[in-house]
Amino acid sequence: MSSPEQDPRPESAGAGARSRRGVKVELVDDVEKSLYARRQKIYPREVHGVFATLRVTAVLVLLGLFYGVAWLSWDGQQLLLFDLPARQFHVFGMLFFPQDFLYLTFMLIIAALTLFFFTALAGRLWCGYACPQTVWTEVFLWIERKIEGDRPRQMKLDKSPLGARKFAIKGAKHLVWVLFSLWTGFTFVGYFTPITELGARALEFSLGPWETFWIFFYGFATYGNAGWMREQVCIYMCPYARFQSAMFDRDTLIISYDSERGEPRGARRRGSDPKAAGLGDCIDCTLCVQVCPTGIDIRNGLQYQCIACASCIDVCDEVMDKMGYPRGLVRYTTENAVSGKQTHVVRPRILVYSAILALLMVALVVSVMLRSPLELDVIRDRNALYRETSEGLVENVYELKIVNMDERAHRFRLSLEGPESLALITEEPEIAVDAASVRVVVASARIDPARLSQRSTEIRFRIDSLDEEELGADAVARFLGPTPSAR
Amino acid sequence: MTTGRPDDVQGAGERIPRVQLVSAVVWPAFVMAGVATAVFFTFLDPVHVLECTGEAPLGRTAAYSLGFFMFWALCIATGAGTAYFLRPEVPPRPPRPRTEELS
Ligand code: SF4
Ligand code: SF4
Repeated sequence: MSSPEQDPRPESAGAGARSRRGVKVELVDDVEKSLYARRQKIYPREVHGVFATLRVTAVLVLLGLFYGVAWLSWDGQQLLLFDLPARQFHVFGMLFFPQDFLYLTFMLIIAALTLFFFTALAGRLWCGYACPQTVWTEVFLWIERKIEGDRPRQMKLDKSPLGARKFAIKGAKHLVWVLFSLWTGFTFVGYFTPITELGARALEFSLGPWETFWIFFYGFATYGNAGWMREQVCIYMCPYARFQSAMFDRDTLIISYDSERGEPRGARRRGSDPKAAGLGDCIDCTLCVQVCPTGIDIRNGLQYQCIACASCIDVCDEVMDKMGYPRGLVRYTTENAVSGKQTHVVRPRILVYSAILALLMVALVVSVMLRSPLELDVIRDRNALYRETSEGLVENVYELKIVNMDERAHRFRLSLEGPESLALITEEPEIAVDAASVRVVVASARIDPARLSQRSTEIRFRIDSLDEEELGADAVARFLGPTPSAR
Repeated sequence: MTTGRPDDVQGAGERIPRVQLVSAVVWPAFVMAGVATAVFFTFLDPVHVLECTGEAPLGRTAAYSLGFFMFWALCIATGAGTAYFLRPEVPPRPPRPRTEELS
């Protein structure tokens, strides 16, 4: 590692110097080294408290949604299904097609802006409570704790030589991790191909090669990211972690250590008067460092590795309670509040974000509602320009594609508009189309060539629903005949 | 000092950890491959593409998957190229002063 003089980052030199006062020299150095060399494994200590409860609740709700929603269906139709093999997307009773990808783009933009909004307002709430990386890591940590025991036991186990006992414990942990990951992978694939059929095939061991592959691929990603990579995903792979500070201002909610109150830190006997000993409120128990999932020391100030999980708040509040000091040595606060100024919740940045967000949401809802649930496409049969029947009429053949995006079945009457005496020939004057599906029917149009004034005439096919008023669609096509002069 | 090994990328006197280097190439490539696959197959139904090449029995899921990995490989290649060329050059050796001037 480079010496402090060569270190180009002044703050890290400062942090190093400061850490030398505390017991935690070693830990801070570990974190710094991880920027240069091999990562030190982090063993987050279990924590209880208000925010831990909140986080566990968020984890349960989000995972419940992820594993549960895939199984919800209505009228035999999976409610949320991006059916890639069939190229159609079912979203809570609405059907979308690849050509509707604009809506998806729209939704992604709204999601990004929502993230910006909450970041400006409340900092990295997303990281601490809702990010899949946090949520799955939390579950993996829980499994690890159940099998390997608490932090000291995990550390002891890792230091012990590999024997039958260690092998059994580690093996059990990885087995549970792998099973959980595979279930995750299965659920994930179940959002892209109907999950009940996927489940049936899985039980019969007759999954397709690519389905199997993606289940394992996604399972492996879960296992790797939540079991092994953990905080490194946040530090090295997350773009949000890198640029979230751009959305911060002095009124953003952050987690911060009150150094004014805490310093000078130091160990003391319970019940002794810190003032007399010249000490602040931090007893330097380092619990806040031990619970931190990214292995940082919040007492060194706001760092971009901090995912705002609030574990350090919970644990420090517990310490403060035991010591009989007021809570909140580490707490949610804002930069303005720390420096004794007023915190403003409503401020231009927030207003601008909310205005854009509201506008986009209204635009999305309106455009989805105005979208016609029915589409008609007409393709002329390319094999022949036209055909002459035995009665001397000219006939064109068409392929009609009816796209019913409604999640209900409909019946349609087919009609044709065009020059006088144009006749529609079809075997199916009434066409039934299943819910959320596409039907192709063949129809032809016939006319006496004397009625045609041009080689190519515009005609219009129309379908009208027989079971729902005002549901209909039309499409223009061309009718080709002989050149009038050639007659 | 660059020794030619990929984790020896030097920047401001710091070594970049291998996990960061690999993630920096593979992960954005993964995301962009996902975007590229989505856009590409929005406009093209693989079944139609495959009909033209006579590989029809492959099926959509397989086509999507292969398309995705093709895009991923391309993006990784680009990213790896960028990472490789970002290695600082070895500064030229300063010219030696002429010997006459020394005497
Ligand atoms: S948990 Fe609180 S008292 Fe303990 S070291 Fe951290 S800040 Fe100080
Ligand atoms: S510093 Fe505190 S809030 Fe930030 S990641 Fe560590 S424990 Fe969580």
